[in-house]
Amino acid sequence: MDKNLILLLLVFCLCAGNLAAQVTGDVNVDNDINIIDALMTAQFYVGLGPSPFDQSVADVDADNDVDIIDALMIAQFYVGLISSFPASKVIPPLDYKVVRVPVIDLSVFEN
Amino acid sequence: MKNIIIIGILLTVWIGICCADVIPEGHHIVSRGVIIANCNDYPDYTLVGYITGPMIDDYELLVVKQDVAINKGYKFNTFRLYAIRQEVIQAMGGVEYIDYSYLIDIIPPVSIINPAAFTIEDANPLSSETIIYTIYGIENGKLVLYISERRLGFNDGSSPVIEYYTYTP
Repeated sequence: MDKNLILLLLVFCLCAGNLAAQVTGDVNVDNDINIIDALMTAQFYVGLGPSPFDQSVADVDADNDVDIIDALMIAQFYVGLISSFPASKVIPPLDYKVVRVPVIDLSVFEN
Repeated sequence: MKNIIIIGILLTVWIGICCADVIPEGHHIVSRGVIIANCNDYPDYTLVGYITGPMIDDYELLVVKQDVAINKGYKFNTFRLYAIRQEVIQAMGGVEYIDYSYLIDIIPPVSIINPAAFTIEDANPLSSETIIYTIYGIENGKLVLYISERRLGFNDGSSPVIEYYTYTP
């Protein structure tokens, strides 16, 4: 209970930030890297057994161990403090590959 | 002990958020340019960037020019993009006289690749990124832009990489 409470606090503290997508760090395999991945990695480290959990992408610092540092790095990635992981060495992914820009014509101002 | 470590995470990340404007140790800046390649093919429209942010009193406007990099300035600024028809600009007397606060109220914001520099770990040799959008045309009353090219530069002496993309409606 105490652990869960602290982990919930983690979620609240980290509910803002930038987001980019990479496979490394996406421990719950939802095609997104966010605070849930950091939370689940922390849960894995303290033995809570989160599920689903892909351990193969959790070692983001490439030290051959899934530990609290990995959770920290995923959290840092989520809030934009880092933009890639040592284990991935990938170039940043492209967001917004296609954008649809609103056209402003006179009818917009007629209402 | 484990709880203390988790609390340590909270404090570390919290401090990190507070210091987010500083280049983290072991990181370097990657310059980023965002270019819209073929604006001149669409003379009926002017692409206008509407920039707001903590260091801007009200807003700033950026009229997008073909092959000229877009930069939103301070990384925490917000960049919105509008395609304004020429008759609107003529009716209003210029892009600066358009009521953008009204547009923001009625039109959802559109995001493009963040046109600002960012930081990356020193282990990653990426040093520059140029992203090129191409205007595809009009679809459902909106101007469709897609990423047609990305140029990557590196600081380890390796050759630049150019990636090409296509758009299929």
